[in-house]
Amino acid sequence: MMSASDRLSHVLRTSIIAVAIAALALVVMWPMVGSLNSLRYLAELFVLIGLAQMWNLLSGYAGMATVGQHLFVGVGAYSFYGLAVLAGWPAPLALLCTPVLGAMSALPAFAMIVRLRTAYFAIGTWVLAESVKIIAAKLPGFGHGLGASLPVPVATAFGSSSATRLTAIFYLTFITATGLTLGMAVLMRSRIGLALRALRDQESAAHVFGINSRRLRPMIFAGVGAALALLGALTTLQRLRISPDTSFSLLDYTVNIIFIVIIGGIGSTAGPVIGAVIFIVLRESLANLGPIYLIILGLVAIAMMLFEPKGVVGLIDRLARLSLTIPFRRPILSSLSNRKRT
Amino acid sequence: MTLLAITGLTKRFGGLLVFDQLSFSLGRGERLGVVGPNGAGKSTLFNLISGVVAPNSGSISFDGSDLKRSDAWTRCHLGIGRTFQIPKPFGDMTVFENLMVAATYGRGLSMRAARAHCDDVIAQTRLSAKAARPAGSLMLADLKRLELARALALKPKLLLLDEIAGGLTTAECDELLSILDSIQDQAISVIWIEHVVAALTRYVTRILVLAQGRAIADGSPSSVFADPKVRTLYLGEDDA
Ligand SMILES: Nc1ncnc2c1ncn2[C@@H]1O[C@H](COP(=O)(O)OP(=O)(O)OP(=O)(O)O)[C@@H](O)[C@H]1O
Ligand SMILES: [Mg+2]
Repeated sequence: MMSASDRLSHVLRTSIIAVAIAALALVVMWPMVGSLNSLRYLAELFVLIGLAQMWNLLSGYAGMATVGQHLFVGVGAYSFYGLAVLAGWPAPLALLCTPVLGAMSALPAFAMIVRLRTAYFAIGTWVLAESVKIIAAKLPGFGHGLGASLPVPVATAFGSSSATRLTAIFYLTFITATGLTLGMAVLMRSRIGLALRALRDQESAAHVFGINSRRLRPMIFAGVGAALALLGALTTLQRLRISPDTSFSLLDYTVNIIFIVIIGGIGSTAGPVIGAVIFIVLRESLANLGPIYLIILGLVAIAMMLFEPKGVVGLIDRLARLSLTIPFRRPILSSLSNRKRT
Repeated sequence: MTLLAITGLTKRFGGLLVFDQLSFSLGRGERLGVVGPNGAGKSTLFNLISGVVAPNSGSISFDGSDLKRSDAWTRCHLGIGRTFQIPKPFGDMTVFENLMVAATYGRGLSMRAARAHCDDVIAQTRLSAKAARPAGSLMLADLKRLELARALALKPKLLLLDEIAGGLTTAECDELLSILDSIQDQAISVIWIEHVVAALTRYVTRILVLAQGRAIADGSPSSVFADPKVRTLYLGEDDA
């Protein structure tokens, strides 16, 4: 027999699934009813969700907090430009190849910083990202420091009118964000999820119980590099240009993403989605304040860390006693300080 | 038949010489007790066997392979399971998930097979009531039980137990011994470090005494505790 609370959570779960299906239907139909501007915002939201899922995977689950994920976003943007424009490949093929290049660049990057611990690891990713950005500005063919626009044939490869182009980008980013979110949920319920959480909780015991972190960590890092590169290529399609400053933007692809994950809830799959929605809403409603919105965002994130380290997901859990997250997550700061290597 | 052979093992921590050319071996299916004063290096011995710390010199061979360059996870895959004297649970994971880590990664079972196997181990170690609790919320006695359960979930060939009976009541100690007796696999070898000698001698058939970096006695429990060197160590009898 079900207890009252089981029944309640059953009802809640069923309604969440119903809402998710309704939302999916709405999203699929949206390009037929929504304005072009709304397509633009939603595509941006989907990219943010993808970026936030990946930062959450590294920092919230895999114990590899980074402040340099803009590195792989930029690598994706430049790879896409290189393949589609300089090498002249068909744009869809170039897009599909960017994750491969992202993963390939992640492995040597990981090898360079793997010896660093916790905060130094994070700073290492940032230093690498800034170095690669400087190299990108020196590359011949990529417009140096100013960057370059996508030529018309590439820009129109996914649609010749702006309506068709934005619709294509809308679906591409939606599929990517949904894929990464569902992928995260599946991953964390798999044996790899067990291993990541075990490593985060007690690294030396995890080793003694058979977890090879020397293989697992680079694998996860490469997977994240691949996804970030794809997101970078999609961003390039949205913005129609590359440049060292925008394609390797610390603010857009790392700092804002950290805010999103902390506000939404680190170490949960729903957190990045909720955080990205809050971020866009806050940014648009505070847009006329100028850069002050960044300060407000920072304050919200700090308040969140102090009062509810598990973010809005933690608040919802607490209020509704509804588990959107696998039980009991450790906040980022303690997961940073508890990370040791042997 | 020898399962574990330790030869000329030397371990230093800075200026502290913990083991000086330690050698002994363990047969398949053998149950060995290890005793010795605090700081004698008993837990360090387990750390050396399981690959948590590296020796300065000497060799450890297990089931025919030389462990010299093996990582901790490789040793686990070869069949070495251990408990930690100071429990090291995966604190944010449930008791059941703690066992799942051992069964999937250590034993190499699929998630499905691992679930069934962990259900059995949970029942065998009488942790059913706590299976869904976060491991970090358990009290010490349950944490020690979890240490044992997690090691059993590996189905190891060699089980290393580090002071799992310390601080238990007589009833809890009896229960622990009955759990150990319920281990189905007759071929499993056990090394058990324990200060509670009464519990130890009910289970093991051989005892090794560590002191001053060496094995000062090794043999049947009765012969070892009759040994004057051991009596000096334990009872302070001055017959040297
Ligand atoms: N990782 C380490 N680094 C430095 N010294 C260590 C380390 N591990 C153990 N030691 C030292 O080595 C000696 C042996 O420690 P060990 O824990 O093996 O003793 P033990 O026999 O298990 O003692 P107890 O009965 O108290 O558990 C102690 O002096 C201890 O302080
Ligand atoms: Mg000890």
